[in-house]
Amino acid sequence: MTRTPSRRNFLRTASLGAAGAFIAARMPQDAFAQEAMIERAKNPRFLIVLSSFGGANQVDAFLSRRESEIPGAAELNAYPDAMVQTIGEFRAIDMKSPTIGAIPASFTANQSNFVRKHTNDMMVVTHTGTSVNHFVAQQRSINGNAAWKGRTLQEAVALTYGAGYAIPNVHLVNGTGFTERGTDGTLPAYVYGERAPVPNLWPLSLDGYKGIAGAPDRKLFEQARKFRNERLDPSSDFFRTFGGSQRIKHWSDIRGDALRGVEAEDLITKLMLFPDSAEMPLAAHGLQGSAIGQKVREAFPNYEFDPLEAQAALAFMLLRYGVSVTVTIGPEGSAVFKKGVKLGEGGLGEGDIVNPPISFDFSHQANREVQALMWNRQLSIADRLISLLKSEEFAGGQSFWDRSMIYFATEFGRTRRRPANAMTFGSGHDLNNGSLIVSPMANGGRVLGGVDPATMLTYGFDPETGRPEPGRNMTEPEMYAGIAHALGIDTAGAGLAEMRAMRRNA
Amino acid sequence: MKSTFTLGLAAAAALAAACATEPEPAPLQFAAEAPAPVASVDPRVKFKDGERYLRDLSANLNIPREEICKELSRYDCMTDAFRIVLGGVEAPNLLVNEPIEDAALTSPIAVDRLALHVCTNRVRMDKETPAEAVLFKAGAFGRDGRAKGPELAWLNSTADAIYGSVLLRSPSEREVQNLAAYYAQVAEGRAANNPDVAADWVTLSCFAVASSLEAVFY
Amino acid sequence: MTHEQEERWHDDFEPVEGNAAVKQKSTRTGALIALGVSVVTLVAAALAPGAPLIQQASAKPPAPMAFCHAYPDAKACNTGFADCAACHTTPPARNAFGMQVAERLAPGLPRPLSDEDFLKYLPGALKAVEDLDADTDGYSNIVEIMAGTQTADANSIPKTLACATEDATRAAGAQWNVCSYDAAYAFRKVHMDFCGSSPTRADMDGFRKISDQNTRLTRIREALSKCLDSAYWLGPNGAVWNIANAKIRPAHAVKSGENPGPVPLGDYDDDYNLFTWANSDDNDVRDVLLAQYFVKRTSPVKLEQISEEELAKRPRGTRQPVPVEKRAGMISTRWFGAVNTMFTSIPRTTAAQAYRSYLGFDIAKMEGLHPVIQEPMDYDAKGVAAPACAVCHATLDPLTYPFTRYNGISGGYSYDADRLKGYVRVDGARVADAPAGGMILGRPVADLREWASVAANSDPFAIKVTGDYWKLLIGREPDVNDQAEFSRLWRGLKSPTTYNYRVEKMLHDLVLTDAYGRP
Repeated sequence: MTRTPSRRNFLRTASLGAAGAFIAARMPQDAFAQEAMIERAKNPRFLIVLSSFGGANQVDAFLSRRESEIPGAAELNAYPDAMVQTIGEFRAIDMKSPTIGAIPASFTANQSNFVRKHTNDMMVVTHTGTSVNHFVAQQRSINGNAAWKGRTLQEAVALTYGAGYAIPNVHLVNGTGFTERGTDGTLPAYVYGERAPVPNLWPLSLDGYKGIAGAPDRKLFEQARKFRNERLDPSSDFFRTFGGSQRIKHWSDIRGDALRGVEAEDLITKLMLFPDSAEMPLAAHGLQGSAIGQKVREAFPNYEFDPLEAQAALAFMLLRYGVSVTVTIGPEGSAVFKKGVKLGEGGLGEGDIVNPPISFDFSHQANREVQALMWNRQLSIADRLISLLKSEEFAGGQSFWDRSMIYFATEFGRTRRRPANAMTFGSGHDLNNGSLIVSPMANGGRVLGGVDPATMLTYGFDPETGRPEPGRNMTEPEMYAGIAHALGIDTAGAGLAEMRAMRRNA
Repeated sequence: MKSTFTLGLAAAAALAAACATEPEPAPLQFAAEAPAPVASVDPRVKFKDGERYLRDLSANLNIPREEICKELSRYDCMTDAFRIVLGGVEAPNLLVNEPIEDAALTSPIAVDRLALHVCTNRVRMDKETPAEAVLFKAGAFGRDGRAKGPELAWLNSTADAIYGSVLLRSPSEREVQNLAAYYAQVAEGRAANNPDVAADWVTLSCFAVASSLEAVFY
Repeated sequence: MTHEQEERWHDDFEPVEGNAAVKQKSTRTGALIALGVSVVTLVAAALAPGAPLIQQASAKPPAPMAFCHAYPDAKACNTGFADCAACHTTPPARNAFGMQVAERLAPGLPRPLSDEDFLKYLPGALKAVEDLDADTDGYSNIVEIMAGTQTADANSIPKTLACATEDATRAAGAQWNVCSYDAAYAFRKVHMDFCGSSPTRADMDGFRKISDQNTRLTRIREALSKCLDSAYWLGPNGAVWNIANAKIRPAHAVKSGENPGPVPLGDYDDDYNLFTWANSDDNDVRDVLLAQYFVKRTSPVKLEQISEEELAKRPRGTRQPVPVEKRAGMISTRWFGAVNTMFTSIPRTTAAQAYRSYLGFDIAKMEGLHPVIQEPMDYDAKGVAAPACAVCHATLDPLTYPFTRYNGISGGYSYDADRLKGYVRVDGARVADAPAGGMILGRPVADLREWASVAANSDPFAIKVTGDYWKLLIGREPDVNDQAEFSRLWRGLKSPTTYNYRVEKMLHDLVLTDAYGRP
């Protein structure tokens, strides 16, 4: 569709450079809407969904309870008093264990360091979900159980702030419901998530020409594309016969302006995480690694074998280079072992299991060990991302982190019962839980809601003041609203609850 | 289903613009123009995923499958680089059990890379071993190589080779005219009888056809 | 629901001995349940078109039946039940049509509505939106409901496929004949779909020269026969293999056998091989659920059954410990237990995966619900009796009980009649009371073998098998215009005199359908 920005808005988009080109192509007809789009693109906020597959349980972390605080502690998931630290309003569990349930693999896990370092940006909100099915609950953690026409939080962020960004919404985690497309089919195509399944080679798919040895001159190549798009295809019998296909319409759409916009950003270079090496012979093919590659690789040194570190590294680059406003990363279902580890070659050593199979859901086997190990992993990734985002200036003395939020999305909590006084035990899925949100825009330093000592189930809070309200359960739509509002998303007309308590300076 | 036509005026005019001296006209063979197509009311076209796409080109352009498209000279374009965005699956490691339903933003870029890799490789091989050339054959500028622009017979046979290799059919008259006219664009600013121009035209014509809708969907 | 409430709920009921897992002490409904009558059957009967609307005391969603009570002649209501997708995306999330209905459904009354109010006000709400166009595709909701297209999907519209005479004449001479089965188009597709590559140009040119339609169809069938034996179709990572991906859900990190991962638990090659075997040659596709044997691959396209002696000699990490008489095809393999049952006493994930993979019902999307009254019993104290959970678990838990005797990782993937006793320490004493028998598709079954038998001989199984291939080969789910051909195929798959559960025979007819061969 041809957009017609008002003269004033045309000039403003022109002044935005590359972002302006994207905006011009995505501009609504209404002049006021155009102006709002430009303003939001200049003043974005960023959402990092750090998906926590399998049930990241709050009472094994920031809402943990001491046995002395719980009357029925012997059969509920309360920890020995000495293991539970109190830091501000939060709790933390540090653990060293020789095994993960039946698996003889020792590990050391720490939550307290993160809590101490990021207390002021941490907010824990309690809630109770509506599904204990992994896939469905994953979807609901990001769409608030269809709170706003079925659009996901990532899509809402991309819609609000992403018009000036090449690929506003990127999904780096594979095979989970956290990246399932929302069900609001009315949104513009650019807000839906783009898959980036292989971080090292994915940047190559951001330019149709660079790095292909011996190809004709780029100008001629672009001319050939134009010839194909404007002459060859439209006049072909194939198009005239099958042009009504939705698949062909979509293809024709995305190989037009969208494609040119992506290539104009030189993302094939900016996002190339890997350096020039024998494995990645970039220079020999006229390519080069990203200017910030070294810095990112130092932050995530296991990027070569740990998919989550590679995802986090690329996620940072996508935000830093103004490619995206929301990225979704997270551990997947597969086990990850320290580089070079193989069973049957002397057993597993300290920290050899980086990620158990099925991630947090391995709590079915060993709740406490898996929760500790996985929280440690997630917090470590978040901490490094925050450090990187703090180190880069966005504008006007503000860092990227000042505009960012990390949402630890998870499906549900875990059952609270345990065999009498057991330290190692398996847990099931429980609708009741809470979420960790870390952001300068959130009501930092706060636990919103509480834990019922009789059941160890969480209870809710007053949406306006944040005052704990035993007997109240916060809902998925309320969580969705709170996150959206903290990110400055205008949800007028959506009928969402006002969740002031989840915003900074509430 | 073949009949004889002469090159249309439009193509001839376009070539004239590219060539200082118009080449000798020659009788050409085209596929007969089929009746104007009827639009399908229920088109069920499918995406030809990257593996089948490369297999076809490998067979028809005579390049071994394992050599036809390598990113950074070492990663197979489909298996290693763009498998998911090109409609493949990777269940055991990436947990992608089914092909993506809608093409990704990067899918057409990846297809362009595949087509450009393949066509560039084929023309390079043709130049290196003219006796076994598949697309870029000798005779562009006449037997003695002194014509001021490409011979129509050569244009026609090259167009036929490209369409035949990629789409398994002869080009229509209109399609040959399109490619012939496109020669003038490739030659812009250069002599029309420059061998590099001819090679570029073959490479880019191959690219355009190999990344066309008919090549990508079926 | 609090734990105290749960306990009271459980106190009312107690399982009894025997195969009928769902028999209850309750005199209120026990007799009906003992007869195998589910709540849905009762409600369906009450809400059948033309019958008076009677509200049953049921927590189960009455909407699909109520919708069909309002529109008994709608194509979606051929079975008496509309699909959840009529109003929902993933229930309870509504699609655009569902939202229109919701806005007009008893506005002003407090939510959630009782079932009684819901049934009372739904017809009026449906009537109020009939002339609207939820998906703005130019066809009103009522037109789409009666045509059987999706009211909330702009790509789903009523179509007239017949060509005008003039178009038909023109199309017959065009490169693609969009007005009838185009043999040349189908010939190329067969090569692409089953051999993984186009025919040669010479083959295509030769085919185009054939004028006799019967000869052309013979050539298509010959090409298909040849391609059905190709590595692209039958081989590792081939087309049939990839159909099984979502059913097997392989994970290389825990693979054993050839090309093992770092923590080898089970070898999913066994599962892929059995699936490929049952879907090829003259083999019975029901063996994906019924086979009591395993299959090995002797070349990329050659498969053969493994003798029990050979199976017993396998290294420990690839053994199949379930005894022959307890095996149920792909739902009792070592791999299926390793990735689904794992360490769980009552392995609901396992049953849900089997139900989704082989019958096409995703319980999480509220598909295939056949709730059993007074279920879920929540033997393992997981809180599944809470209302939000019970909606699905009243079906899922009885579906799961037959899997409870099959070990996952803990217990070494074997069969153990007393398996649940080992979970008492973790899940409480009641877990050992969970029965070995259960319910599937409204029928009581004694064990997993019977579960598999009911499943494999059901309509949903044939629909799922045919649907998997339809999606792959036609490129979309069967739509309203495809129903006649699709129905003929899956019914033929079941018929002993048509395809008799031979997939390849069914495929020979699929490629001759208009859906496949009309451009």
